[in-house]
Amino acid sequence: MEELKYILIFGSFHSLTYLVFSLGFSLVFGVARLPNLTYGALYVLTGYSTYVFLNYLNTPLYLAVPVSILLTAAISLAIGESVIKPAIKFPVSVFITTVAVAYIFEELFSIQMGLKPVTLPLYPGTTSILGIPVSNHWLLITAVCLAMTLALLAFLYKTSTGKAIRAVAESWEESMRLGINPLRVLRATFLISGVYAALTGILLAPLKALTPTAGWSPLFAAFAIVVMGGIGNILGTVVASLVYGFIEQSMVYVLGGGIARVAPLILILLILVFRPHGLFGRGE
Amino acid sequence: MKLQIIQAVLIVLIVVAGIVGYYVGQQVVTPTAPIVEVTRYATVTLRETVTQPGPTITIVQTTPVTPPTTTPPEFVGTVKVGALLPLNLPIGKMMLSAIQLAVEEINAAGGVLNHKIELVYYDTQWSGDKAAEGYRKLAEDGVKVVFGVFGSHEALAIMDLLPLYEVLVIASGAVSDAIDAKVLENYEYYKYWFRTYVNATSQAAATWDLLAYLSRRFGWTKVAWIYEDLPWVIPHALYGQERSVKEGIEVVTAIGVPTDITSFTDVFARVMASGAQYITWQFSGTEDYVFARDYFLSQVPLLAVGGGTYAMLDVFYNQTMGAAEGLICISWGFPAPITPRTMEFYEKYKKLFGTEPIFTTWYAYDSVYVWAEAVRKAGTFDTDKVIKVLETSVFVGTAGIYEFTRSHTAKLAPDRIYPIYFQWQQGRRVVVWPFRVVEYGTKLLFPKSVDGTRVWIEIPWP
Repeated sequence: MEELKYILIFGSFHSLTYLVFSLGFSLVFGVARLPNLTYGALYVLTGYSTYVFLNYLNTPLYLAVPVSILLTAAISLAIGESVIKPAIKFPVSVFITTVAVAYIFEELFSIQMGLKPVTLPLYPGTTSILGIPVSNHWLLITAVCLAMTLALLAFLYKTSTGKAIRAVAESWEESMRLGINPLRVLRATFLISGVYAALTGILLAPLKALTPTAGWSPLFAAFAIVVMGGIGNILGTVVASLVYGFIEQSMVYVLGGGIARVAPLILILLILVFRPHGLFGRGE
Repeated sequence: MKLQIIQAVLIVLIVVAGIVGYYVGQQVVTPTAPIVEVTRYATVTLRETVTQPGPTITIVQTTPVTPPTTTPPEFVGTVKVGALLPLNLPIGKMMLSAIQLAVEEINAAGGVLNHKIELVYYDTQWSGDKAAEGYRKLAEDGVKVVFGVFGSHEALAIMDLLPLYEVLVIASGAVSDAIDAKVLENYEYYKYWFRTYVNATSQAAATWDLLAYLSRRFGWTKVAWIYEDLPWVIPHALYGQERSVKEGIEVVTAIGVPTDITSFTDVFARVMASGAQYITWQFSGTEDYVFARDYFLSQVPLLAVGGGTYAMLDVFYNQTMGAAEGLICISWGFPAPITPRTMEFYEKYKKLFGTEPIFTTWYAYDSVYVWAEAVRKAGTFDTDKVIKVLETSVFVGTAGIYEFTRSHTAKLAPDRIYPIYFQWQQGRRVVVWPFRVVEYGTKLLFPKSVDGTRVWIEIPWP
């Protein structure tokens, strides 16, 4: 019974970390159909830039955070315009070029920030949930994650730019016939996904130490989650994140930490056998 | 639909086979008898070491670091030595800088047998294939010895090349017990291998020495083990199973965690529910930070004794914003008066490179001096003669005193090679084990829970 309580609480938090990371990635990969693998590097970049603002430039936290977000969003836009756009019709090329850019970032992080991990401050204090002391930072993640999800859904379904993004994802040519400029729409996608990558860095980097390679592991999980939920479906990403996180957290109790990471991937294999387009994806 | 069901069944079968294979594999690797030499604290003294049957052992004081003379030494020739390291890893770069420093110092002091040492290095990129290629290239380049060799997979990849090229390897790392087993099983084939560091089982033994002492001192019989769930931990598990029985300590819970864990709160709750009286922990990644943070947030009122790559760093306390207070951490190589040479190297390295030497950096530096002294004592660069000296001598280094076991690894003992355990106290790393290097007046911070809040009580130590 006690274990169930822990699985419930920490399974929820664990799932939220995946959801936070997957949202922005889902926007680019799922909605715009571009496998932008610099997403993990943008997450790390925000962590490092916040660290530099706080520790080297003595910038107060309330300034360091928005400036880091703006910086990451601008770099995301620059990557989109210079690296992704030229290869836009060839997703495999986007895959390769963004991997290359991510590795360049990784090397730059290693050179500039050194190889020792850095840490960012947690939101202070603890709160008791079902008698278990929980860091308030988890509550912050929960609140911001909820806001990020609702904001993204509202943006995609209620705003003209959001609808345009979905239209471009459906069909590039059709969207042009409707008077939409796909390149302009993509620019918005790069910018918003940059903001989401930055928010992810601000929220998740303090949970553990930040290293130049810290972006790869959650990126691969996000990849799997977006595919599992159904490419192009944000609601699918939400559900898949929860399933992925809970399965992994439960399996830590049953099988141990190492093999637990394999469990959700096996589930994805099984899901894709019966639903090749993911849980909420639509077939052609 | 029928095809999909067959596919699903196949996936399930593969997974089941994988899980069965995993557990069967674990059974297979469980040795029925120890195959490696382990020296335990309780059974080893210097007197026993020098009177044990076998070859006579002589103590060699390695040349102290001398400042460069104004007139450069005159050399009669040059001798090449090699370094084989993963330079894509921070530790590989640090080990190379330590080897380069040792070479420079030895050359400044006149070289070896009036020969100038020329260092050639090869980047293994953390790959076994590259390591094998590197060893071959270095051997063909005419090096007399190869230093470095950090990864066990790299070492295992070069083992079968040793008899072909007959070039000595003095590794600092590569802890796999399988390497020791090879040397013991086929001495003539693998005698070219030496390790100025300990093997995995000795690493585990060192931790258990302290766990056993704490058990005797405080009457504890229940320990919780928190570990990174990766294969390198297996020798620790096997050793712990055997030693815990001998010491009368029960491992009441063993919790494997993933490397990207973000919370230990639930892990600590399970530890508390298990009735454990103290904790031992082992990580190689950045879990240290999360562990320290939640050790504080959960106000865990148990001593935690363990090892982590980052917890030993001088900056760790500040990086965790003081959450590391009270943690007892292992450090292989430490700025304490371990030998007369320890602090000299530490200060010099820190001044030159702006960071303190960590982990195998100490041992890589020592490996060059060990080889140089063995050559001097042998009076020749001849590999077989140098091997004989290495086997029968004791060398004073910076990380401890080296005496090689039958498997050609550094012997684990408090008066030989042994880790330091320190406790984080107000940002300082206070040495608490082994007692040989514990300062007079040291206090141990002992945790106690008062109304759900952890308080630290200072007790005289030892």
